[in-house]
Amino acid sequence: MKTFKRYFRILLLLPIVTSCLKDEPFKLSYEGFQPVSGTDDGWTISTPEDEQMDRTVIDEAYRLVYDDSRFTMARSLLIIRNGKLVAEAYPHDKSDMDRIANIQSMTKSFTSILTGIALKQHILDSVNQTFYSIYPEWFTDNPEKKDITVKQALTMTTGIDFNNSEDTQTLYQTSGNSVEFVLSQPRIYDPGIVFHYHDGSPHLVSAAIQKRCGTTFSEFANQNLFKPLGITDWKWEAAQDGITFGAFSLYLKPRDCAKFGQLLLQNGRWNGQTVVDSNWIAEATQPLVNTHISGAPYGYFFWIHPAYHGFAADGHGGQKILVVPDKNLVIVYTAWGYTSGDFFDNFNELADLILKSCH
Amino acid sequence: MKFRILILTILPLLLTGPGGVAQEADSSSRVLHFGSLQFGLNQIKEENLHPKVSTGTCMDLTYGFEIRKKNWQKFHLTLGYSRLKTELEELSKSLNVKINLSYSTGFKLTRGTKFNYYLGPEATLAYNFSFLPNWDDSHLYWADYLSIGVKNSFLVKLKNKNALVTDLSIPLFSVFSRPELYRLYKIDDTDAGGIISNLNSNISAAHLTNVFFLHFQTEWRFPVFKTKTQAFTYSLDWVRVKHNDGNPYNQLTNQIGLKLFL
Repeated sequence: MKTFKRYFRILLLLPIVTSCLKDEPFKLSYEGFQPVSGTDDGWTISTPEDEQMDRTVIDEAYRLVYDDSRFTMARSLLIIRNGKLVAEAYPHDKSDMDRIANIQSMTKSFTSILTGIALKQHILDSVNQTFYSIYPEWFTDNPEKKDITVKQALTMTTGIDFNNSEDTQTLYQTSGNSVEFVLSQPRIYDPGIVFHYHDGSPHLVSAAIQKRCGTTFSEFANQNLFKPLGITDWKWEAAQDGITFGAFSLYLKPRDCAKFGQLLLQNGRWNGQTVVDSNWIAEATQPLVNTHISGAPYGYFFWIHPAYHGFAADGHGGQKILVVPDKNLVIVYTAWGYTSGDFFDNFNELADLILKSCH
Repeated sequence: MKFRILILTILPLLLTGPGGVAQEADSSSRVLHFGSLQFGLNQIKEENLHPKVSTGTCMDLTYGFEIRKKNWQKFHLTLGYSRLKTELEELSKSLNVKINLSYSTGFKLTRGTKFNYYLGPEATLAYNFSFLPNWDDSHLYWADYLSIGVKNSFLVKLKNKNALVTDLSIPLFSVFSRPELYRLYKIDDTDAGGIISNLNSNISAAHLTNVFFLHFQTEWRFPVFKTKTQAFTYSLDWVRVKHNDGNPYNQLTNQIGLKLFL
């Protein structure tokens, strides 16, 4: 009995003696927001003072991003004003600056701009063109959806009940025809009426352009968007049938996301050349349909922010490219793209501070 | 350093061996099948994802057998399951599953009747995977290894057929599998075939800096009937698996349980 008691005491002590694993901070220690200079990516570096911004307020925004209990999975925050990179920081890892990462649904806004380019090049006839006119063979089992147009897809009003929480994974993994999979989902609304956000509609668009242009949609993007912007390091995933995903899985560096925002701010012109028609940008970034999500209206795969007089590409993880033409401002926030919504945090708090810093 | 560890480990085996001087006939030699149920606290830190610790209760179910003749052979298969959360989460949505297979032979190195020490090789195959949907809703995280190491077993015979048995295992050579640090694809294949394929992908040979674990278990064995024995157990497992191009996976488990010899 005596031995047992001694043994039992040791047993009780062991868990106490054996140390527990310890939490470590999510982020690096804050060292300011001075952009890295000396890169050859085409960005001109500037300072808040030179671009009429309040340094202390910007600092407040960056400290928020570096707070260990806020924006927990943040990867980058970049501020561009007057076409110059004023502030940037990479709270998780400094090498995130040179690393491509999944921008998730921000991809949809790239698909929107590429649609504008495809229309300008007459690859697509018009936004009112039906998908049936482009790939009729994929409607064999779903003839009732022959009337869905490109515009309805761009505004998420196809009426198709594609459920992201289940169907996105199937779209990603299906070994069959990915467009037929999207079209096989039930229709719950008449097209053109009700906003229903999902990953199926952008896939119909990317498939249409890919079908018409004779190359993959990602290669079309490379030739007509990435190369003109000097974006060389990118990846864009495709379904198993080879159709590039129009809704997600574009991998870019944060600074290249900023180039996309700046291109929109410059009405589609880059280094003196027109990359995308300014009329398309104006059309795509105006409120075209009301949504049930945060009350924000939607354009052609762009979220509209009336309070900021701006528009944004939004992606899972709370990622955002916010363009505010009135302030000649682009804000890029990237984060780990796979986090649950509970950990996205409130980007508006950052945006409010950064906008407040603009004189 | 590694060479020294190797020598210190293998030398006793060479000196004693199966026919070594320390071996003696053991009147209790037989095959003992057992099942055990253990509960405790599991902590994992998957630094490929984030540096916070996920903690939760865990349950392990084990079947095994041991053959104690001149030497000691042990085999066990353990299935473990736990739900976990970090301090930032309200609900334990993360889960960790482990499947461990282990086979060891211990050579008796002592002459005593009350205290016996066994040392020998142990092969361990461990599948350990986690799904942490709040932090990554698209990918699995795993730290699998096949390891050859040493197992130390101490047997102390007490009065009234009671006994204390303590095991301590450490690895020497391993191959292991970890997911890539940067997975440039959106979603892991979560079909059964995809999971199995993932768990056996990206296999690398390991140094002790890549795979290290410490498995410590002590148990108090006591008879319940004339022919039956059972035991209270305490175990501590620490596992660290790190690919050279990635961040470490750490796991610490403290468990108590009941072992029934069949």
